[in-house]
Amino acid sequence: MKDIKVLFFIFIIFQGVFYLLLVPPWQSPDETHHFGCGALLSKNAKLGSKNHKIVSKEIVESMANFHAWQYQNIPRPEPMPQTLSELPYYQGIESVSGREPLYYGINSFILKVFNLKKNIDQFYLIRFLSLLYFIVTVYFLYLSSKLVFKDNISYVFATVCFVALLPQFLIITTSVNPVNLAVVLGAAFLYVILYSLFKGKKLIALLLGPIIIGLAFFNHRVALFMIPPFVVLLLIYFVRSLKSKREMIKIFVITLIVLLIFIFLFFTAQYFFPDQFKRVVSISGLKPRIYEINEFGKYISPGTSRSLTSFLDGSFKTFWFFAGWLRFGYHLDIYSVLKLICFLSVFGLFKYLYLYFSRRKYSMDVDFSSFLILIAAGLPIIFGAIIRYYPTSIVAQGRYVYPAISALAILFILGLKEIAPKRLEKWVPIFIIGGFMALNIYTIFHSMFRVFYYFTNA
Amino acid sequence: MPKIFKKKNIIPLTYIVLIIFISVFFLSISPPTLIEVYNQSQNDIPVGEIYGSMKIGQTFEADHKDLSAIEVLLATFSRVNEGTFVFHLRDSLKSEDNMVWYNVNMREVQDNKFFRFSIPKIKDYKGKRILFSKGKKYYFYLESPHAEPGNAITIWSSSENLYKDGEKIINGVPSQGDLVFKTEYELGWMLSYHTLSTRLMNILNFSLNLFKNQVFYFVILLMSFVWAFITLVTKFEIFQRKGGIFFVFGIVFFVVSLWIVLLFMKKIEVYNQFVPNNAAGEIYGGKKVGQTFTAQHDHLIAIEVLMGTYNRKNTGELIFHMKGQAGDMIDLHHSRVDMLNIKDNRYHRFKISEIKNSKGRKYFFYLEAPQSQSGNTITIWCNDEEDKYREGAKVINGEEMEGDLVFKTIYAVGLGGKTGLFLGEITRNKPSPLNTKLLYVGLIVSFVLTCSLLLTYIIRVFVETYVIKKKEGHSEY
Repeated sequence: MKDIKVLFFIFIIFQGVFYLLLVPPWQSPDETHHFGCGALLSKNAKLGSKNHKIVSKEIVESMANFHAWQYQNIPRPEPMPQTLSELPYYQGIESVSGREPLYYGINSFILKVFNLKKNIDQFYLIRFLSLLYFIVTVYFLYLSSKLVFKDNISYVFATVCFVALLPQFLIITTSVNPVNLAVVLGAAFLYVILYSLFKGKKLIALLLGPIIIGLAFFNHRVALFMIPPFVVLLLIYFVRSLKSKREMIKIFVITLIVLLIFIFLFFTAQYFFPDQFKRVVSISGLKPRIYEINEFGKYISPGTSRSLTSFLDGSFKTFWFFAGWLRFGYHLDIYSVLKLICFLSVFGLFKYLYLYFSRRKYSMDVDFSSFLILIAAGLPIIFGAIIRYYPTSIVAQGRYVYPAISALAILFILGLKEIAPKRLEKWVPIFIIGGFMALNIYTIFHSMFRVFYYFTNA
Repeated sequence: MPKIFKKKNIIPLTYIVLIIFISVFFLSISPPTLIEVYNQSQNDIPVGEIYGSMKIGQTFEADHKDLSAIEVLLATFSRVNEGTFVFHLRDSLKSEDNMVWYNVNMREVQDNKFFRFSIPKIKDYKGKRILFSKGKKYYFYLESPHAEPGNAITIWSSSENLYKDGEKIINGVPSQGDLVFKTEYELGWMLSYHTLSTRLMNILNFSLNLFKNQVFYFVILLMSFVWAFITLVTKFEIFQRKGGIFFVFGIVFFVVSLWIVLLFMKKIEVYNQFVPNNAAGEIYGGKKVGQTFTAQHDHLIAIEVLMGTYNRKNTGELIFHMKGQAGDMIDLHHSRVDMLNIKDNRYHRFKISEIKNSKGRKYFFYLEAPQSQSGNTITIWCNDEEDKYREGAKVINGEEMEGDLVFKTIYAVGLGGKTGLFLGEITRNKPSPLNTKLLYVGLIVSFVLTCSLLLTYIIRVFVETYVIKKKEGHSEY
């Protein structure tokens, strides 16, 4: 058991390094922007000041070295512009929103500590930091799935493989992107909640939960979607405590203390980081989300169903694999089979619910309370991404739901477990692991090699 | 009775079908929505002051069923006007009855701003709500009988007839131009039968297409292989034998390596230009349609062109020519194709004898069908909008034209060649030690070894956890 765990992590390190080096510099979505912001901070320049031109110029020169335009099939700009924002297609660093202060702050700190001179060295250093986030994410998922699947090792590894071998996740998670920090925080948060639920240690969730949410708010607006599972956990505690008055008072007091700590932290943060805080609050707040839901309601009608279908189709593809700033995907047949598998998984989740509510004599392998937490962690972020980006964008990129990847992975595997006939249930994890290995090898040695190294242009 | 029709199979199948149907049903229902339609927005001229017996109006066609407001661009001549004007809405130009009408104080009108006339929910004499019909024509007009010149409002209009579904009406007579107006519809909960049926058909098509999908069969093959392999490993108790794990590892390593080598062996297909937006026209008689291009790699072996058959079966012969450059007299290669073998909107591959040192060289290919006639020939898809492919151009009858054909070039670079291309590119301009080829070779080898070893261990755990326990008679398995 220990051997296989060690081996698994050695494998994912090799694989992570492979992906990290395989995707050419600046070829993951928004890398120019996200790297630029961290690099600019490390030079002690405030984001948005005129100093961005120095960093911007270095990035443009590096892009020219790595023929960034050839991958997008657009002509190399002549003469080469001095700043990123003058380039076609690529995002600059002048318009930085400051909504990811934590991520950029960490990047800046790392760059200062290592003090590397060359821009490309700094870039790979940050990519290796992302790899570290990836490994930690996988480890937290491993711990979470061990709790959920009650040490059923085959299902635990199948769950971990979903994340560790998901091609697009690997591309994003080994690139320079603030979503990677959100993913780690999301995975850690889920583990804390599940650990607290399974081990009955309420204080851990009640203390660590809000701290992680608070940190996540300083990193990415998706932190908002950590609140639903936390609320579900509190509700579970509340329902359980109804059996004992003393327990109920205890929970109430702890929640109150945590709330007070949270309010204290809120005001402290506001005092120490006023600028970043304003931006974080305005972007991550509930009000914009409600506005987006309202706007979404206007658009979603049968008249626009066709574009919604293609929007969802695009989102699905970008969840699985769509490399090079979303230019290069799989053959459509592969997506069809992946859709079939996802549909089966969703049916499996419905079956789980049906069996639970029908109260048949059926031993549930996964507790209903943990199922509720997983649903609360996975579903709102999916709907949130759709509402946020439909119809203003062509797709809601899969990476927007990656912060809930741990919950989605466990649900995906649970669904397949439930839908499989009982006599085949034991085979499901081995098929999943085999399938993911095959898909991953195909992605590396065919899909990625052909676009990044043989320049097939599609 | 076939196995699939047994009760225990019918229940889950019904369950899945029900879930699909209910989901699609709910997804075909749209929530209440407010839709604003800009019917006519061009404002060249005002219609003049509205006073006395003047009636200025517009007929329009309802775009949806629940009309909730009409907004008209009014003007006050930059002054405050006193008195009132009247808004009328009728179900046709000829109708004498108002569906809605009301007096408005002219003081409420802001200069050059849309004025909103809300349409209340109207009921007939039986108390039943009157719905505005989608596609039906309605008529609204404004009048201000008590206003006088110098104390009246006006409406902005276009000088030309820009709104196709209605007319500007002055004193009951259709006139040149259209009023500037918007309509707003407040749609309630709605089930679209069309959307429902389309979505159900899409799901049916998706399910049927799976059986044509090669990846689907590959997945089944992979699952069968895994099942057969593990069953054999268990049956012959390989893990219990000395060196058993190495034997299994060897096989897994071989399969993983074979899968990688097979992927490496694939030919390189370069999509030089893949966006079609026009057809090059029928190819017959003296017409020759071609493209110049620069080979991206060595070992050029074929060219694929996106063809169109006009959705018909064409007969005759198509001739493919390949030259060093457009003006060359001698073909490097030529071949003849029966048009019956060409599929509509599919790439057709024209094989050529391998050109080993093709990289960086310019070539020219064209297609002709001298024996064919209009109505019985094919075409080639191309892009005329912009120069998508910069290393060549479309050539028609020997003349370079704007745009490019939709075409691919195929290269048989081989295992060694592809590895060389990969290592050359991945190490280019990278910082040390990332610019060392050996690093990547080591990485690939480590990847394959750890992947195979991990799979071997997972199989062992699986065999020991499930299969052996089952043999030993553990009830839970």
